[in-house]
Amino acid sequence: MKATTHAELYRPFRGQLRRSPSTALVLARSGIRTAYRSKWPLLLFAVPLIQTIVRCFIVYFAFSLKDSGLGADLGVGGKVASAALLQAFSNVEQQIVALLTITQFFTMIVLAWYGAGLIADDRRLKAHLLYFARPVTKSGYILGKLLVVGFYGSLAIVLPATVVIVVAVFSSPDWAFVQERGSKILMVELYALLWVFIHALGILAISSLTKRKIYALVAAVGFFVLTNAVAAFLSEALDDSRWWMMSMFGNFGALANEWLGMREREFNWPVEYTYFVLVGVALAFTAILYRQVGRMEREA
Amino acid sequence: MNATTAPTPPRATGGGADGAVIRLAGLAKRYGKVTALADITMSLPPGPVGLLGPNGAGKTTLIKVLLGLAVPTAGEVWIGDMRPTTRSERLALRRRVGYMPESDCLIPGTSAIELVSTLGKLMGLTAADAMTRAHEVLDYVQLDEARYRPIEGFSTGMKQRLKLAQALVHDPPLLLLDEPTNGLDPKGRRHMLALVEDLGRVQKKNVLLCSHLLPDVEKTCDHVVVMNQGRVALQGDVATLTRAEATRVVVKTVLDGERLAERLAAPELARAGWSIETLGRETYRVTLPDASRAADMPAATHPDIDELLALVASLGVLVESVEPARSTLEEVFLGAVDNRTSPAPQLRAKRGDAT
Repeated sequence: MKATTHAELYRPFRGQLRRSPSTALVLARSGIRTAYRSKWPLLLFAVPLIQTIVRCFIVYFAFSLKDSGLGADLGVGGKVASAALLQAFSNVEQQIVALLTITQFFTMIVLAWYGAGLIADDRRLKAHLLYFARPVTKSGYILGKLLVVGFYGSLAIVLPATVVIVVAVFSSPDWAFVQERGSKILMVELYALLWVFIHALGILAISSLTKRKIYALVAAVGFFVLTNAVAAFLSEALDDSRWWMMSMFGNFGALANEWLGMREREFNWPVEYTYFVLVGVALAFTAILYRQVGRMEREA
Repeated sequence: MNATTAPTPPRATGGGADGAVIRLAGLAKRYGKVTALADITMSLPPGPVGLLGPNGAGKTTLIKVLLGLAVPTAGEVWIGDMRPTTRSERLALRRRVGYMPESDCLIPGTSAIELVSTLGKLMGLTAADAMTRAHEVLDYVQLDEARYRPIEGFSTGMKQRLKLAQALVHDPPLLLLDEPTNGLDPKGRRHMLALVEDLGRVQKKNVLLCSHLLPDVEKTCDHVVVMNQGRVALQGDVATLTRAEATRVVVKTVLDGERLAERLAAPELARAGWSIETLGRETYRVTLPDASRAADMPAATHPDIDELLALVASLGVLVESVEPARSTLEEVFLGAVDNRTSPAPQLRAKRGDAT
């Protein structure tokens, strides 16, 4: 119950408005804060977290082993075992790619969870009427939403890769890792960021096509999983790995081979095709986003 | 509402040459073959202005144009001294305008204070200013106790007040309020109207109130614009449009009013131009004859008033009062929209000025 003595007072604003506020950052901060309020989805980060800890331990162990002279005091058997372990574990890029490969499905779930509702819920609750009555452009709006998904996606894939690299840097003797693999560090970071960017774009594009988070969530997961499943089936059935070009996971596998020097799985197509596919997919997602957000702006 | 006020601020006119807040010249907006706005030329004075019109009249399109969300097909728009023509100018224009949309709109997962402060930051307020302003405007609309609650649980009245608060957060000189009393119960409606009235009349904000609830406009606005089929059908001061008419009077009787009604309905008096309609119990509106002769004459000095009073006396009807009749805003609106002959001659004159 309000006290009868309460009196509302309109207070004019005496300050100044900034000429060009960074609307994307405002939207991103607001979106990140709102998403963080729900704590249960943080469990989705469990797999990337566990993987990060395991990979960090392996990398640290490998460098320690190398540093201690390949188990010199363990006899011949120990030396052989140590050499085998070192062979298996000391390739940090391989550890990072393994980390990315194992966590990419969970990362995709993380991206889908945090991104599916970003535009769908805005459409359902008509938040765009409020946003576009302000100096918010389509690009600012899309970038703001992309930063929210990108932030959570980065926590699941870019941050773990970075942590493993940092452990490798500090475990390697005389900064050898930085000196020998400096360019690879950049490629790993670029790879992880590109992974997040393309998937985040896709999830936002799907989110913009519906008004329900749950539909967008199902559609996003369905899109990435189904294309992967169909690609796997066709490549096996027709014994042609080029079918993997249908799948984002396949294309990023091919990119890992090219950029990080991995050869765990062979993809029989020139990497230029992968670039073409990724650029094409990114452009398609962007076009969908601009079209849908443009419609939201006109509805405002 | 028991709104009290800070010292009355000067009204921001925006610096237009004639003091107009909004000026439109030959404004047209077409969507394909559909003409939403057709050749609108008008100036809106400072202060609270009501924008009336039936569904599809072009009110929403006009608001979109004023917000820079729709680009005119032809014509010019001036908001104060600003004539937005480029995209960046249209974006800059939105910082001068506070918009309260008609439909429910929320930012999902936020509280009232977060919503208002976030929208304030999007307008260019610093984080500290946005938070301070959010508290101030939520206090003003009496949402101070609910400011930290999730807005999904707000009632319709609270959502309406929240929408008003977000429109006020950057203290714009021009407020576009689209159906602010939509869905409100009588108490909520009264509160909302008190806020709108306070903003327009006391805080000297320039308010464009878009509504189809005529009493709301009549209560809060000094000036009205009636739109119909994409054109301005009528524009003018509320006081002028609803001023006393020259040829009609309202007669309130104490007893036996029906005898007066029967007498005036007699064929010979009807042929002479007399007519009477019952407005309520013992209340009648009488149209006096020979309107053309007396159109410019106040009703109190109309020659037939004496005849009417003599008639009343001869019938032995006890009269409480005889007053000049006033057009209601509803009559003005219907007259403009239906393009029918209005009982008030000044309306016909105004109609020609509007477009």
